[in-house]
Order: sequence, then structure tokens, then C-alpha cells
Amino acid sequence: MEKFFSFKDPVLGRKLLQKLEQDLEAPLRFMEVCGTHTVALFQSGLRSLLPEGLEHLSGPGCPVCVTSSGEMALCLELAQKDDVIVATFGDMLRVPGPDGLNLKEAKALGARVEVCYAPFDALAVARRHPEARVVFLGVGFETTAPAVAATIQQAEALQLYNFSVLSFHKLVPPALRHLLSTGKTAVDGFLLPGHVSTVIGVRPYAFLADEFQLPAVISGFDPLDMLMGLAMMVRQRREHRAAVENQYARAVKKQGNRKALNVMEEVFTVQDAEWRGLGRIPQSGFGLSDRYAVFDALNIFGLQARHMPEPKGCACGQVLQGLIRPDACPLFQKQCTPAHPVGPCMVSTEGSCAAYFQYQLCPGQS
Amino acid sequence: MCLAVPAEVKDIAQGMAACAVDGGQIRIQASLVLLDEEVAVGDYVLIHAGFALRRLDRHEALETLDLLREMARQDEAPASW
Repeated sequence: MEKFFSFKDPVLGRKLLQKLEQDLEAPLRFMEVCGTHTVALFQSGLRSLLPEGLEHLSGPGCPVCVTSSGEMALCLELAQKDDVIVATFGDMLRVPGPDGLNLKEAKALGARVEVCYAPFDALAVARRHPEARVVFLGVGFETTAPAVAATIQQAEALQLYNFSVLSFHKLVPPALRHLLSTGKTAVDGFLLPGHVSTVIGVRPYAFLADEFQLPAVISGFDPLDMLMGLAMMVRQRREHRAAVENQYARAVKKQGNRKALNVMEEVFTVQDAEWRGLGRIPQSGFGLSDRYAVFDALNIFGLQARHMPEPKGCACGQVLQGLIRPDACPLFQKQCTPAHPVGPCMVSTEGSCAAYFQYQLCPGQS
Repeated sequence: MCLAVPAEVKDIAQGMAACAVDGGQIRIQASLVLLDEEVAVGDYVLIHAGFALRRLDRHEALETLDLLREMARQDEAPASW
């Protein structure tokens, strides 16, 4: 890796931390909304080095975690069909459905489930199994949605009509707006997701500063990226400014990635979506556009997304909104562990509960 | 899930790039169909779920590093004793 693409110099990091501490005039609570940030903050050790007055919250930044119980029920329903092969990113395997069953267990009971690294892999499955109907579980934010959209276009080019997508893709900016509109989530600034922004650019976040007067910084994922992002946020607070700034300019252009946006806009249509813990958020998800209806699993199998209750006692909803820390959930580390997750925030390695669990963060130790 | 890895483009053929991650230890293939810019062998790209999403910008990276050094430098913390 060329050295200017690596932002890991510990000496510089220490200096920046000092600066951050100096600049922090009052306690500040920031939220990141990206599972990769959640993990990187813990893994790099940065979280434990942050000044005491700088509080970190993980918002709804893990696509697996925000997939609703009702959506998971549909994935499992499809997996039960004899002629269906469910193709999915591995993260989805252990998310429990409403009755506790997950895809991994469904597979053990005979369902056909294939794990894919890239959505393209699902096309290969469809080619290998012309007798089966292959359904790819489309989860992920704006980073992942273009890859799935391009795969659908590829399926059309190859005339692979035994391939379809169950699209539960979700959009980050509407979720941020929702969090702020409910008035329950109290934050002083957002560390914005670098790779979502690689696709959507800077403008979709403008409302954070314009309407909610909140500092927000698009940040990369190396320790120096995140530190710099936080320092920029702290500086905005100190200067009584609110703006959307881009720390990750090497990967994020102001206008985003036009090509990826075009492909996404052609294949998908923006619609309301149900988020775990947050409920129904207007215009916050992607369904397939009419033009690609023939690849829409909801359409093909006559399924309808429906609301299902979340597991009893599970506080993922409050965790995702930044209302409580994972260790404040009554199930945390008791009934709910990475080996036996009750809620999705403990399932995904990027979930805030799993991160808390893995990095042994208990009250008073932060 | 939005994890994306930077990788060096080693070869390009038919809209696919053979890329090296971690100094060549790992080789991965990435589709270039979602890129809105040209890439050449030797460029670094950001890869997510089998697709390159952006050519990493050397100039911007160096500028960010300069900014970073500047931020860390200005009014350095006084010694605590």
C-alpha cells in the first residue's frame, strides 16, 4: 500500500489526540452510522483513547442490524421453498426471524442457502442451477446497492430469469433525518460513513447542517481518518459552525459516483422501508423499478413485506437510536451473546452489541 | 458491511481488473462497470462486493495528510509540568 493511502501513523495520531483534547471545550456526543466505523473505532483502540468528554454512539449503521423482523421472515419463507436457493452475504445467516429460526438453521434443516462474497456470485449459482430459482437477499446501504443493481443488469444481459433479488436496501440520509426528527436521539455531531458517501457524495447530508445545525464530517476508516474527522467536528463546535465537511477526499468526491448513482437509479425505485427499531421511515429504501420487475422476488413470489414484532426484551431498537448503550440492554451478555444472539446488533460483527461484547467493554471501564 | 478495500490495479481485461491487496499477498478481481472515471495499471481503487467504486486520488490523499499535520501542529499541547 502506498504510504499516502494509509492513515495510521501513531506519532501523528498521538499529536492529533492531544489537539482534540485541547479543543474540546465541553462534553460532546457524536454518533457514527457505519458498522465499519463501529468496528474500526474499537479495533484500532481509538475508542479507549478518546478524551473523556467525547462520547461515542453507534447509530443505525449496520444493514444487517436494521433489517426488520418482518423482512427476515420473508427471507426464511423463501428459503423453505423446495425450488428456491437463497443466495446471501454471510452476515445474514444468523439473524433470527420472528420465531427464532435463522437461515443457518434453515439450511441445516434442508433449505438451500448459498453464501456469496459478491452479488455476482449469485449469478454463477443461477447458471449452475437452471432448475432452481435463485433469490439474492439485497441488504446494504448505498455502498452495496449499486453492486446489486449492476448484478441485476448483468442478469438481464445474460437472460438469467431464474435469478431474482429480494430488495431490502436502505438509505442512510433519510434514517439520519428520522433520528433527528423524533427528537429522542441527542447528538452534537455525526461522523458520516465514508463508503456510502463515495457513492452518494456530500450534498445529501446538507440538511444536517442547514436544518439541524449539526456539524457532520464524512470520514475514512483508518485511525487518523477517524481522529481527523472528530477533530474537524470538535473544531466546528468550537467555532460555532455547522457544516458538512469531507475528511475522506481521496475516496469521496463532492458529487459522489455518477455512474453508480445512475445504475442504482435505473434499477431501483425509492420507497418507504421498515427499519428494525426505528419503524417505518418514508422514502428510506430501495425496491426494484417496474422496468426490472421480472427480477423482483417480492413480485415473483407474491410476497408482501409486513410488520412483525421484535424479539421479546431485545433493546436493539433503542441501541440503534443511540438511546441506550448496548450494555444497558437487560439481555446483553446474559441471554444475548454472539454465540446465541437474540437481536441483530449481536449477530453481525459490525453490530454495536457484538462490538461491545467482543472488546469487553463493561460499565465503568470506558 | 460497507467495508471496502483499497487495492492496486495490476491488470485490466474486459471491464475487469485484477487487483493486489496488502502489497500483493491477496489477489482479487473487481468489475470496473460502476466506475465513472478511467483507471490504469498502477492506480489504486476502492473495492466493495466485487466492484471498484472509486479510483483513490493521490493528490487528495497528500492534501489530507498535509491538513492533518497542520491540525496536529498548530498550538501543540504544552508540556503538562
